[in-house]
Amino acid sequence: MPAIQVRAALPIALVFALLAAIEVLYFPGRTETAHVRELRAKAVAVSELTAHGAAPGLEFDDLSSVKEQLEGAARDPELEYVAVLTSSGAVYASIDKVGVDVAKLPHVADHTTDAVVGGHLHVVTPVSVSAGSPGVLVAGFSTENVVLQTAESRRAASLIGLAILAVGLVVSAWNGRAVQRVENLLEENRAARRVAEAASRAKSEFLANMSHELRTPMNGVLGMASLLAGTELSARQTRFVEAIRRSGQSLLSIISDILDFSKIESGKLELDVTAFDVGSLVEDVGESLSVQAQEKGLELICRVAPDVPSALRGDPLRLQQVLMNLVGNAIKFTTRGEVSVHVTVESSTDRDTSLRFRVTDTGVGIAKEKLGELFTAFMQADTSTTRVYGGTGLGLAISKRLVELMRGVIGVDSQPGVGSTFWFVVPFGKVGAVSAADQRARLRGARALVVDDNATNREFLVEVLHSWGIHADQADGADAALARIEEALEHRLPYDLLLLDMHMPHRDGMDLARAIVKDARVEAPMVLLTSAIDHDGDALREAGIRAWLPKPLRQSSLLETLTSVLSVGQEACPEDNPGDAGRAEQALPARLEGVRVLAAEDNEANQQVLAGVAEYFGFHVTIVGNGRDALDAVQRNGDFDVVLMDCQMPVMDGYRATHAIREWEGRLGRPRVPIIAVTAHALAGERDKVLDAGMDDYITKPIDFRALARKIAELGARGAPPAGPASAAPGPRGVGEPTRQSAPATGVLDLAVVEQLRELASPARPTFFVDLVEKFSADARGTVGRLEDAIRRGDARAVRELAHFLKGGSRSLGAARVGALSEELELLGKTGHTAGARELLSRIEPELAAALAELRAGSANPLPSNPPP
Amino acid sequence: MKIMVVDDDETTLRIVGAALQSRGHTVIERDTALGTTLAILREKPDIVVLDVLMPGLAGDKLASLIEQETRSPPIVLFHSSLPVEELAALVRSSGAAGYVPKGVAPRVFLDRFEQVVSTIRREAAGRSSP
Repeated sequence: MPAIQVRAALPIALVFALLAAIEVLYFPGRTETAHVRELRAKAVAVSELTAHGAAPGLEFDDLSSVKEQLEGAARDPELEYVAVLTSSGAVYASIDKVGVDVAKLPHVADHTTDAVVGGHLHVVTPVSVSAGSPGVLVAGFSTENVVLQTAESRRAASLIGLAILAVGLVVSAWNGRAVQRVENLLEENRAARRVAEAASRAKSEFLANMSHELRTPMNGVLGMASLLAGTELSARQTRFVEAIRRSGQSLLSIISDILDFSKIESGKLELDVTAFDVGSLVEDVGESLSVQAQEKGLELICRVAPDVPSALRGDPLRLQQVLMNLVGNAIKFTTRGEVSVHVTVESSTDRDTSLRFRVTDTGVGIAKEKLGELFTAFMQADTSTTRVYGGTGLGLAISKRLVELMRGVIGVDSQPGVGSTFWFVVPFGKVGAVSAADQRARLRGARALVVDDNATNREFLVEVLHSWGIHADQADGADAALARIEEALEHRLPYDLLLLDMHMPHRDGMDLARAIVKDARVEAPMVLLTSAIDHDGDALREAGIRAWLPKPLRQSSLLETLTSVLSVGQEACPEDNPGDAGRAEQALPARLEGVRVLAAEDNEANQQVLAGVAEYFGFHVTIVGNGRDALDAVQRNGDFDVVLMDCQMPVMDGYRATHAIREWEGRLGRPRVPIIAVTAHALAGERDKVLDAGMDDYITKPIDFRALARKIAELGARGAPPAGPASAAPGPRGVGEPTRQSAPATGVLDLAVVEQLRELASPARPTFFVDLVEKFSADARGTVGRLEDAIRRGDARAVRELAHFLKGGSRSLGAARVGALSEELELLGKTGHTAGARELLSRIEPELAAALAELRAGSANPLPSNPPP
Repeated sequence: MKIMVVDDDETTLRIVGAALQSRGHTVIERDTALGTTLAILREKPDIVVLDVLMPGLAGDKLASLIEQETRSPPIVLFHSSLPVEELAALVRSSGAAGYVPKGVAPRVFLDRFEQVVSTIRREAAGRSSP
């Protein structure tokens, strides 16, 4: 019997058993007492009557009268014996049916007593006489009947008890089975629900995977189309390409909808909370949808109430998605009139500010009975409109889930024929509520320029910025600042932030800001440091100043201000706003000549796209098909400037590969190669995931090639400063810049080698030698820099490998002395020690500089002037 | 002849490539050991010149890989700035056909290269017509 049945039956069975026990044990006892009481009453009555009747006989010694009385009593069938005793205890008269010795029985006549003696109820009753001592009447009654009756009632009770027990067992068994049946039904129900849930999850996961699978080839299609658009095309072909791109984009947005929806359904969508500017976000949405509105002759109005804080914390991408959806819908379902977006403050607490967003249109409106279904998945207000307006019908359902995910509410008011207002209220964190560590984390890696004529102030600021992980350069005045900015642009390392002191001789901070803001290439927000108490905010804004800080500076307010201007700046970054094509165009980096990129990507079409992008931007790309090959490539050919790592690959995925690369780098003490994750998941958790895995940045598919190029420029250049003129920003490591010393006049080069190299130039390769020298120069400088690092770390193995590399290259170019010194260094590295390595390297550097100078001179002259030795 | 040169040092790669081309050879330059066997199957070079010390996959390992994975192994030469004795030992242990020095003047490289190739050819001819 299953446990559940036992559990259900047991209490009932116990109750019945208890009842049965009571019946058996208590009831017969009670009946026995009743019988005894009855017998005693009779015995007392009979005895007293007899005693009373016998008294005169005893008094007057009339034996026959006494006997007569006794015989009368003896007619009672239960009477077994009766006797009258004199006061001296002698038997006067007696009748005995059972043969007892009456004289020996108790006969104390003080009171009528009774007791059961030897199976008889023995009653003693005084026989009163008017003179002399009274006699005693003793009588014995049989208790057999009582015993019989008691036994009978006990049997009856047992039978009843048994019956109760039997009924109890039946009832409890029945109950157990009933409970079991219910339990079975419940279990079936639960199993069915489990199956349904698993199916639903599987469906969501299938959708997510499917969307991923769809996005990957779409990446290929769109990427190729972009590349195609960049080639020379006839007007007609351009139209075709544009059509491919447009169709691709809209297909992609449908896929993204499905992906989003399935992610939300399977509970995998997380918010990416950051500081952002609500006002500019709303404006961006308005701007990117204005074309659609204009095409339909609609007016699109965006209003943000003045009391809405400019910086709040929330997920700007998801908020934008909701707004885009609502505004896009409004435009879609409105044929004339206007669509307006209105943002107001709903409520405000210490930590949060709730904003109400209202999207109002003058469109077709929605019937009241349809309102409830609106936010349900796969529903459009009127299924028949699907054919007219298109769309997945997921937009509002996604918006609703997103708003709920943001702890908000969404709703709609509508009147058919008049229009609809879709609204939602969402709480956003106040920017001040962010922890300082969180803020500092956001600033890490930014590049700043500090402009101040006062060296103490300047250095203090630079130090503070460095401590926050911001790379800061300095300039002591406006002219130096402009030169720095120019240099930075040339090296494709534009500043993210400009900190300007207001009070400087010649040209003050405002003046400088006005000059900078005119330069369209500079996007960095400017922060003015001023000791003036009052300032004209409008004038400052006009000069392009994003924020100003009072002096003396407080670190906390500096941190807060920088977080605010930098995060807002980041959110407004072109790769996050695909609609903002103008700025993207502007930010297009120069060609990435010479940057060495390793790309791990398993999809062949995307491999080809990457190759095309590399060709377009001029960087060198090595493509591998999975994470293991990427790891191998990095280990074998470890001087990539940037690694592009697809996250989902066969054999070894991007996360594991990155982990392995980082581990390998750490073990060998090698410099960290920047890794950019390429992921199809436009999900919030993804960013943390890739950063946790040790990657430095990420980019989502389909890849925006301009954004990719920008990231490569940024990270690649950071990893390995471009060859050529000295880097504007000497990195903290101080990459090896050969010291410029006057070189020995002879013997620096093996001129026979140089001459033969020059002979190799042919009409097909006129610049062979010049190219070769430049290539060698770049490689050698990089190698020297890495050697310095390796020596500082005491990494003998790296010293050996790098010196070997330097030896090979320099000997090939005839730089014999560099070759010889490098060989010495290589042999030193082989011993496992680095003592003396620094000294050797310091001898290599001037030799290398001299050799390069001579090689350059040689490549300028038609023939070497010195004869071969 | 069709010659594949594999060396991670691009400077050397360019020089060796240009030098061989100046003698009328077709040269395939590869700056990584990765995918060399596949490239050999595809390009079918007559001779492969391997750098001995490449990060990750040393030339001698690569040489045995090439032998295993390509059905008609081409002649493999090592070039390196290793001491001559070490190179000779490597050639013996890995079954390569010979070695050429690295970091020498292009003409020295070419002389040595042609010398090794002709030795190999003579030996091959001697084997095929006993």
